Amino acid sequence: MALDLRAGAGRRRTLSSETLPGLAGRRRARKSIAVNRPAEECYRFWRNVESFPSFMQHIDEVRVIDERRSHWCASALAGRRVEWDAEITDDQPNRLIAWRTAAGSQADNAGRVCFTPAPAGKGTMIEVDMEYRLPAGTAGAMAATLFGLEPAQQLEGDLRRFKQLVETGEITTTRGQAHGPRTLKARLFNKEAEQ
Amino acid sequence: MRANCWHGVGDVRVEQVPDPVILNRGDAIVRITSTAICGSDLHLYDGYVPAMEEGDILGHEFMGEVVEVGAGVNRLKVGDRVVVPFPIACGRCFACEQKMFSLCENSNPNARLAERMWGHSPAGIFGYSHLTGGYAGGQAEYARVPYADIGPLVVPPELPDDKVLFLSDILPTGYMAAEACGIVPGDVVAVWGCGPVGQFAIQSAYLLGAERVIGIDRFPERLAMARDLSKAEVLNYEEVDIADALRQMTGGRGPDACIDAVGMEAHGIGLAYAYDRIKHALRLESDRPTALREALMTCRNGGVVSVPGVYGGVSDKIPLGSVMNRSLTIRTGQTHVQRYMQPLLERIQKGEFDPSAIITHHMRLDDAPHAYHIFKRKQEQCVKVVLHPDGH
Repeated sequence: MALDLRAGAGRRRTLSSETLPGLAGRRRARKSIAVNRPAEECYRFWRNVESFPSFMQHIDEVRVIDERRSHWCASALAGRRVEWDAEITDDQPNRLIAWRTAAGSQADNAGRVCFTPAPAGKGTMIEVDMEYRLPAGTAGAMAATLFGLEPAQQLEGDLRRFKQLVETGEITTTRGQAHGPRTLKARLFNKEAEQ
Repeated sequence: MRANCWHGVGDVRVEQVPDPVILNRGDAIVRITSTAICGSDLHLYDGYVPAMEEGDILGHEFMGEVVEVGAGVNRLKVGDRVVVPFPIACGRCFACEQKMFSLCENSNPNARLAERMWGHSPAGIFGYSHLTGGYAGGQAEYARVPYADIGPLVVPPELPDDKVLFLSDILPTGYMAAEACGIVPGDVVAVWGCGPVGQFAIQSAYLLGAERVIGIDRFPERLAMARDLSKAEVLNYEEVDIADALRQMTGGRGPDACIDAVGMEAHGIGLAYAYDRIKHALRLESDRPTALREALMTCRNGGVVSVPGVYGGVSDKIPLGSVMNRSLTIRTGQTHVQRYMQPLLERIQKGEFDPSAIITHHMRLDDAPHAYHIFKRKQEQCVKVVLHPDGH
């Protein structure tokens, strides 16, 4: 008899997105996705940071500065533009890439992505583990969540698009397709559904 | 172009909308010559599938001529005559490699929405709510077909539309439902629902070796079609107690396999049906599983219950005790159409199936609202409607 007596006891953690104890406003996001291509190919795609805007919806541009450093531009709330430098802190070909943003820059995040061959040759497990701090305190964090700019939320969609691009060479979409007259509700809904 | 758009419960309208355009390298645009209304479209028409929006173009059973291809399309050429499978599949992901095309991991742009509803996301589907991608459907003059090299089947010119159109959905759906039963010679198979999918399930069950197939419905024209065209023994559930009759017909054992070709809006009789109607109407239950319950209760011990009928969300009073204690197997899923198109085309060419025989109505696309009306109410002995965008 498998009665789960632990249900409801204590506080459970949601590993994909959690607020870290201690320092105010620090959060951690963990997401994984299975990609039906070899680890080498996934690594190579990810190592080419200038391609990130093709699957990261909120990133406008990434420019490589040198072997380790790159410059990032993103859109933030209310049409604001955010820019920062990021540095690769560990690079193990076909296995792992770790990064952090430069001290004192507008974005504050650090993390790593691991590429592990899945069992029985079923492609690659890609696991992202990152820590970040949202600017502008609690209100800023709430606004970011509301507008889909919360990194844990973005990460999920970004990984999905990464998978689509690596596996099929295109990103699945219905944006721009034909439809009949829409109500306002339908227009808002469609904006929200595809992320 | 003209397209049949959803505007609410019982409200579809043929409207002037923009022509579709190529959005991705792998897309093609098809000029539609024939497009059908599926029984599952009635679930949308009746408002029981969530995440429909006003202006959505309906239709997932269509065929036509390729008029434009994206830069990444290699197999299809402009001018090809194709039947388009209803699930959209990339052909490259883990699910597609396993030939489980209706579970493609990449083709649903609204995967997050589907994950909230179902835990994980299935493939995108043409014209079948935003849960499965919000793709514009094929009850229109033209349609955009993503991953065009993977799905569409090029069909030979000598076969008319009516013979091959149903390779898009209902023929593979009936066939996969029968295949899932694991039929061995001598088996008895019972099929709930003698609509188009039920008819093809009956015919497929015989082709796969069933000894006896029993069709269950309440509309005389559908029972007659099951008897005369598909060669089933038939039972009218308004006239006889189905559980009792099946027991009598099988030496008390029950059918070796049961197929629920009805789905979420089953009609029934008795108290349980009244309970479901109320909860369904109040949206406390998304599905009315009357046929499924009966299939689960009547199937023989250790048998298979195969479910091609569409369910959307949650159902009440599913007799899991019967499933567990009697070692039943439930097999279901949206049809992996791409897996079945070529072999079933060959069966059509050999004369083993004549899918055109189930068509009761040919109409112009502009008549879609009337077609939905009579199909929903089973008026004019309507079993299957094919619409023609070019008006012929």
